[in-house]
Amino acid sequence: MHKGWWQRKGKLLVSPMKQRSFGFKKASATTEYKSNLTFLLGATIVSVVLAIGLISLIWTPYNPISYFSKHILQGPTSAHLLGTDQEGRDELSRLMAGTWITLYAGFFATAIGIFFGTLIGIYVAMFRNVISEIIMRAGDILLAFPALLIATLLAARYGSSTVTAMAAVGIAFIPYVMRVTRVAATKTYNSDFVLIARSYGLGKLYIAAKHILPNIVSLVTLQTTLLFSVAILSEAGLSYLGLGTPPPSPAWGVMLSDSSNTILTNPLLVLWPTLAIALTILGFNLLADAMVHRLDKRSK
Amino acid sequence: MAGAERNKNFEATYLGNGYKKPSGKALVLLFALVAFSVLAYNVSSGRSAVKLISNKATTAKLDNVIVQNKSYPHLGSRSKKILVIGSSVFPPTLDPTANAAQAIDEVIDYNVLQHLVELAPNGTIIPILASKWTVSKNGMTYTFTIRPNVHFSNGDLLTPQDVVFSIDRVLHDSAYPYRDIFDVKSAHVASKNQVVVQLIEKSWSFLFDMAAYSNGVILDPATIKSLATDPIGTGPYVVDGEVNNYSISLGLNHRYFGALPNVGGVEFRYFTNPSAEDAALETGQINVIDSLATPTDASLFSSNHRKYVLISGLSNGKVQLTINNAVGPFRNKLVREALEYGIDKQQVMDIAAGGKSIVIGTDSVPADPYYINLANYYQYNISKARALLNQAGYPNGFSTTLTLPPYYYAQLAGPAIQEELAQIGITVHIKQVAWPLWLSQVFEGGDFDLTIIDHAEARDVGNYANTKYYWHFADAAQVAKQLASANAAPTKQGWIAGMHKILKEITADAVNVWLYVLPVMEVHDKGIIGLPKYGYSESFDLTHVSYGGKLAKNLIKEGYSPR
Amino acid sequence: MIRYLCHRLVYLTVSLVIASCIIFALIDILPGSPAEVILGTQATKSSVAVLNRHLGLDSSLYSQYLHWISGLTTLHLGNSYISGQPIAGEIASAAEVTFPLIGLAILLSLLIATILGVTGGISYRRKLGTIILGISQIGISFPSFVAAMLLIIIVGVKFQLLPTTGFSGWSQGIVGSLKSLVLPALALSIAEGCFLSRYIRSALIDVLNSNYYRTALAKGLTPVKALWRHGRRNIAVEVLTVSGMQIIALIVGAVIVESVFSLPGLGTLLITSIGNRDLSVIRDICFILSGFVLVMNLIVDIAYHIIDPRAFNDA
Repeated sequence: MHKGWWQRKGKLLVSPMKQRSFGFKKASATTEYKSNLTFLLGATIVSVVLAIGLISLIWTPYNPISYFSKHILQGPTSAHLLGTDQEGRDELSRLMAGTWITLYAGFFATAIGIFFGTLIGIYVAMFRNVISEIIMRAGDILLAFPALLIATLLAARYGSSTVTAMAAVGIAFIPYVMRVTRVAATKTYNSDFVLIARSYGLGKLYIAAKHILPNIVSLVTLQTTLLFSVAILSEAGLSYLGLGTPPPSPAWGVMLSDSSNTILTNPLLVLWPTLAIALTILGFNLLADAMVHRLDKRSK
Repeated sequence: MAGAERNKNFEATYLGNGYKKPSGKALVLLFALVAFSVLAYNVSSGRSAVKLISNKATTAKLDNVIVQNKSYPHLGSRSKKILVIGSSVFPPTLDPTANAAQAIDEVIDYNVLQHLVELAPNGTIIPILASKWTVSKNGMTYTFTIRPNVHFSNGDLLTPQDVVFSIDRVLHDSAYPYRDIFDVKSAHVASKNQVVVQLIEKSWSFLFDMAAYSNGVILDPATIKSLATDPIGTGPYVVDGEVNNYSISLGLNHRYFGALPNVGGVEFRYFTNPSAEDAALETGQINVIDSLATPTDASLFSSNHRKYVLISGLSNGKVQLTINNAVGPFRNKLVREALEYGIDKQQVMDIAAGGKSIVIGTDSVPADPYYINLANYYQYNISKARALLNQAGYPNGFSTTLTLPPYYYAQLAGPAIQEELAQIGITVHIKQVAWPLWLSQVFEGGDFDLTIIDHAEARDVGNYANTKYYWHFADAAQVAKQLASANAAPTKQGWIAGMHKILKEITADAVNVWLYVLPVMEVHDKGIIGLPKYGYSESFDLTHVSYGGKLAKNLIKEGYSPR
Repeated sequence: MIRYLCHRLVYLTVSLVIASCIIFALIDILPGSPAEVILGTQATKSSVAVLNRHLGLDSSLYSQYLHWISGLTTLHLGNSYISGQPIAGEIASAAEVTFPLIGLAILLSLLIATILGVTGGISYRRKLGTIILGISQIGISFPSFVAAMLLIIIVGVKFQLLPTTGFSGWSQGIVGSLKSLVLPALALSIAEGCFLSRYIRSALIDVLNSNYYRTALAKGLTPVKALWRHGRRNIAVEVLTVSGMQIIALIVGAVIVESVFSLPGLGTLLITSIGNRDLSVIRDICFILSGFVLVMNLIVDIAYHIIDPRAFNDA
């Protein structure tokens, strides 16, 4: 097996000509290294977040949903490192426990979008018929229904929960994923080696599984990473509107919308979940950056 | 095909040209994040900053509000300031006879449309459009003397015919939201200034019902058509205009029969975000918050006595954990008793109401003539609760669903109750629903296990006599009989004794877990007097509001705030 | 070009019709009826039925749909179930807030994106570029309602520069209204601007590394002139590419931000109408919002074709 792309060193892109404008330095030999650093940092952040999530399943300093009416809205103390919220619950414990719920919500939405989007995208790329045309048009129309609209309708029908909110976000992802996958899959489907496979009379399902999917898997991974951050942000926004995860759950979005009610008296309670969300998204975006770099290099 | 070129766009987007060529940013990014946190920390510790706002800035802003406000052309002078009141729910319509929403009554009732008799803020019945009334011996006939020389704001004189018209309208228009609690059989004009009202049955609450509910508003027959946008009444205010979901302006009614409030007018402004509402008060964009959404925000204002006045009083709202008496374990009285013993109501009230209320333990608030506090009927006792569950055949507890409406008290009380019931072995799953879903699923459909809701209607013990009411009380028919006999009691004492019996009985049966009285917390700029101190009427009664001045003693006694 | 336009217009019409069917069907299955909300906790089964009949909610679905569509096409939207007011008026006054808000947010986000993107792009190998990239990274990683609250606290309460809430209405003075829209628009545009700036930056870097740019430099053009002459089109294409998605994001963001700033816009109207089960208003707003997205996508596509005529070859 080849080494991971971030492990390879040595081959460098050196600009053929000295660049004069705006006093740019000569393209240095460190691009690759920096991209590795990007990946490392991203991977570190994401694994720390994941680790915290895992730890929270076994241990948190306090019960994240137990409240103590005597401890309402305390600032940071040695007993409660990040203070307590408006029901006297330990903020640090909630933040930790919320990691898992937030990641789960992000994963759920992204999985819906990626799974259906990729499947439909490949289908549309491989079969040029009336059905695929209808699917494409349906995708265009689905674009006109933002996640918010879907979430509102789902919440109105079933009551708001993590599932309704994230299903809405996931459904809204589908047309985007479908389009991107379609383009990439079409490219692969029309490439020489697939043509050869087709000329052997191999089944379409076989081609899809053996040739097309492996070739777009890196693109799908990239999309997953990007959409993950969008999903986490959407969860927060929907929770704020009361369309997301219901309140006792310590999902970060819920913590944000809860604490936004007391932002004037206890602004720190807003800061913690904001930081947590920002850091997680930073981690995933850094990973995405590094992946794009890899895709770029490949296409060259 | 048509989509092809766009696919290119999306390809470009998601292949992410935007993410090309990451340069040496890793550490600096982290640094930037840290810097941002430090900045955010400093900025967001703005609690002290908030207090630094000078009074000058506030009054300057206030003046702006007045100068900018051109919606009061009929005001002779601009010397009187317009009172801007921050509130939370925009009224769906301005017609209180078409919709039960309290937000309508808050603005329109008593301020624009008046009743024959009204509730003072402390809950006592005071004469308004009826200068006096007499009751027949059998308690079935009321004779109201209509106050002379009262005009509607459009100039029409108030006549006994108008009163009869308004009462007949309730009898004949099935859309009245409170029609079911209307005991009137007929009404007719008895003389030039008298109206006689005949009741179906004797009722000790008739006057109260006429004062508290929109059934009692007196309307001008000529203006019924415009009720939804421009209700014409006899009150001290007229509706000047509304901006949907944003504000309602009330101007002064210069034909009002009493002394006009000492303000230039009133504007209700609506906020969906409580923090934004607090910020608006702090920056002088509004002068009053009619009801603080978050009890904790009281601390923001209570620490600044020089600028703000914080009033907290009780209301008719009974916040309760409603139990569906017809499903699963809750059919068993022992299980319901276990809930009563297993929930620390004081603790729940401390969390959901910031300790600003009282625990009641039954379906009655201090304003009720038959008030009785049964908070100690079930003393908080986990082991007793467990024993009861054991006795009921649930030694390992069970799991159930708590459906929460989107109200702040429910959002706060819900998790607290979930946690407390967990301690006696009942696993509670919380389900959050929007208001219409709550109405259709829980209230209409009766499809729920537990829910937390504020029963805002005053004196609603009658609900326990309704066999079809959503909590499915098994002995409702019996309570109905007792209620009828209480109402038929010859003396008020007899009625009160009868009501006490009913209250004790429903508490003994643990029909619901009555938690606490919903408190009303008002904040306003110093120097405004005459705001209502309690929430015992649905109206935010602004009849006696004034910038400065001194409030008459009798008004203070009736519950208008002297400061 | 004309053939293309006709094609797209027909396509738009069909999409609108299908969208209207979906909206109608989805909203019809919502539980709860306006009558239940109107009557609140005092309702009885019979009073709900009577009121539903009053409101015309007992006719067949098919006729309700036809009624709605014919109303839409003739712009006779009828009256709201709840307030009894003409819906057209309610929506128009809400749109007066939302569309200027979105417009202002687009302008501000373009401004933010251009400043961050261009400075970040031309200095992408220096510390400054990295810092700017960091700023944009932070900008896209926190929710708009948090940005909105921070703005209220900092700009509104601490420095008292701009009003934190309220919208006095255009008839009360344009300056005052614009002022009250600045903070909400800013809250909306921070994330969008930062997002967009990354695309501008990368387009700029592509241009800086391109052969034609180097040729232009070799011809003796100054960097600024060379960028303006050869780079602006590439950057415009880049901006247009993401703008379709941005508009959707802005609409969603507007609903949230309107809620924080208590602005009487379409988002607030939508949320309260859903809360009141004011079915006709919900339908109309959903249709307007989806129609807006479809039309904006069309405009973006056409603009894309004008800037980049090569796209016609693909069509």
